[in-house]
Amino acid sequence: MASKAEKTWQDKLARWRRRENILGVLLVCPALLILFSVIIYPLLLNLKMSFQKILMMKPYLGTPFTGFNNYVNTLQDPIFWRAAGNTAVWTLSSVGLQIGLGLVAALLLNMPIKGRGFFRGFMLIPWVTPGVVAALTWRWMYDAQFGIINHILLKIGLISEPIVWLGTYNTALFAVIAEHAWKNFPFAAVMILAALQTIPGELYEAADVDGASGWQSFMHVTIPEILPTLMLTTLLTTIWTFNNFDTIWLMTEGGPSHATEVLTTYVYKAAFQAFNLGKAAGISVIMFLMLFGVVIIYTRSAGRERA
Amino acid sequence: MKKRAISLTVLLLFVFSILAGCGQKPAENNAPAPNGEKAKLEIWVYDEFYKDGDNSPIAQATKKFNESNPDIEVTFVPTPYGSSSYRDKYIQAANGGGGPDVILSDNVWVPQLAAMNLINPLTEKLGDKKNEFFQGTIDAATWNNDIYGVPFHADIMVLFYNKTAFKNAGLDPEKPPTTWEEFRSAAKALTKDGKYGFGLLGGWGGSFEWLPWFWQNGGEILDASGKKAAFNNEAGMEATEFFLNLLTKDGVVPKAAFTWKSWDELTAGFATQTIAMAEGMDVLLQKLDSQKVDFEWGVAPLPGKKTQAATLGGGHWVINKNSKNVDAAYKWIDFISSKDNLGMMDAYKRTSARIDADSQEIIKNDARKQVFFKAMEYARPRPIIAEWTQIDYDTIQPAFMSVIHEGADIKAAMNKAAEQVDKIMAGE
Repeated sequence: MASKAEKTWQDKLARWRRRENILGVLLVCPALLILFSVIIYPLLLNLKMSFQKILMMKPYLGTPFTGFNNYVNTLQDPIFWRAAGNTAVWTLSSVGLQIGLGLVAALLLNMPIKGRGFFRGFMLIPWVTPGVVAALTWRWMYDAQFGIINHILLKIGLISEPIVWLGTYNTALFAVIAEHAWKNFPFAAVMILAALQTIPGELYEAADVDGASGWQSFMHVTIPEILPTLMLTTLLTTIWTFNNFDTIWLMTEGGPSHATEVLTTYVYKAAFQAFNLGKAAGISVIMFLMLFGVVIIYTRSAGRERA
Repeated sequence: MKKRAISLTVLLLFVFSILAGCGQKPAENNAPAPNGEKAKLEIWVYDEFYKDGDNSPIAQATKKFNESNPDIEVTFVPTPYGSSSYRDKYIQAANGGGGPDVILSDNVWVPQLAAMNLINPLTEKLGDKKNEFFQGTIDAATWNNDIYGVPFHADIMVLFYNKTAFKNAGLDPEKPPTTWEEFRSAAKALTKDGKYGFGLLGGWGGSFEWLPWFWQNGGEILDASGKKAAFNNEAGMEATEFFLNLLTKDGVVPKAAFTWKSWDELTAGFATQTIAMAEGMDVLLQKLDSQKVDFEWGVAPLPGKKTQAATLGGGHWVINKNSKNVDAAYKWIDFISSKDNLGMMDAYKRTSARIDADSQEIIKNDARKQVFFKAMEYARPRPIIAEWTQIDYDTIQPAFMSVIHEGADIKAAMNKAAEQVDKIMAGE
């Protein structure tokens, strides 16, 4: 008897749970539908377009399927490889600088210095400056005729004649990287600063008692404690930097002679200068796969971290 | 089980109805006005034309239009000028079946929008009125034998030169160069002590300033068939070599100019006497007038060769393919581009594209503006093909830049560009 009662009771519970699951699914449905319509559907459409020939300025050609033509054309284009190489340099250097500068700034601003609140606010200025304003200001600063950077370098005698920073093949990419790192390091600094403030003081006291030097307590207390934040910040800045378009577009448009061409400017030119939507879709699929790789590497290493 | 299926269906229907509601467009407010209802016109203009909001000259002029056309309501939407900010925004909206009724379009965009089938042909509506505008401005809007835009303002390229610098270099400040060789020797004489004879918007590779030289020597971008590149033929190459040598071998252009992309940068170069000569349009005149400079300067026609030629820029009014008020839209365009509104062009300090623009106050009273006006006779629009921007950005500019920055051979670079142009024109 007792077992039967138990069984029905368990039955009821199981049924209730099933129903709850269905309710859960139903409640998630709207979100899924929206996700589908604004992310998955465009993504699939983009994937389909990447196998079509779509020249907007030649509508009479129709939009025939051309197999892997767009991908083959892209991968055979030497400018694509130049853009891919530049994207790697651009992303690695800028993210490295952003995290490095952010870490240093966060450590400094975490110290009990006078006017700390003021400096914390002051540091945010590049981050809150509109991108257009920042890029155009830096363009003027880099100008070979009127720019303050050349003026200062000439004054202190580091260079004997002005350098055309944005117009010289070897300096243009690093010039735009400097602007981008300056503009975006405050985000990393704020994230790291927040993480630094969650480290309990006892950890440092314990390290101190154990006779750890300043460097040792930094390496064995500070770094492990802020590592999850560092990783997440690095992932976010990597995605943002990889996808950044306006900085380079406003400063050089990828020039001179593709010296600052990155994949975002390359895909923009395919889509809105050549109006070749099929090729542009193909390039963006390639870019998506690249970023997807970064995210997978991150989730793997983050998973290991937790385990 | 049944109950559950029903509740699931109801819920899904509910969700779908919400989503469907989102997708549905709100009732179109610009449907054709049957009786008593107003036709609503949305017009995009470059933000500089609407700087003062309702007090902007174009809005003031339109008041008169409203009085005689109470059944039409005009709304202006100022939009930042630029390919990505303005043209692409329109392309996206119009491709989605929407967008404004009328836009002011840069003349190089007109064939592109026409090829994409996003604007209406206006040949019939315009009729004989096309003779009221300079031929070059009508040519600029003519694509596949149809006129797609009504000319509004015209920007013409002339030579700006520093008279004081001419005097200091032992040149006659009242005799600006009239031939290529005179130009080159003047530029060389003006280049000394950190100052340069010539400057340009080098961030674009110089293709913008190159076109007049190229045309003056009889060069053409495409051959008669309109399908094959012709700019690397003998006449074309002679002009291109002359022009690119100014930028490289002759050394009369400052290196700094190779990053300049905006009129502000060119203005600064000229105003600080870094460069003594520049090819510029109306906007450069305006910008220089607004600066205090301690030297004398003037404008002159560009130096000529076999023929005379100058680049013609400017804006056209075009009507969206999706507009439900095409007639009302054309009525307004006809009004705004009429002779009665030349005064509005004065307020903007712009040259009208009308052949009677010389009755504008700013032209009558300014000898310099007459130089611009006279150049209208031979001013030419950039090649009137949808592919021009792509050809310019993807083949000619990179070719020039490879010569300027990487020391590439001019002939080889232009031949390579010509091959790419053939591919573009073939739709490959």
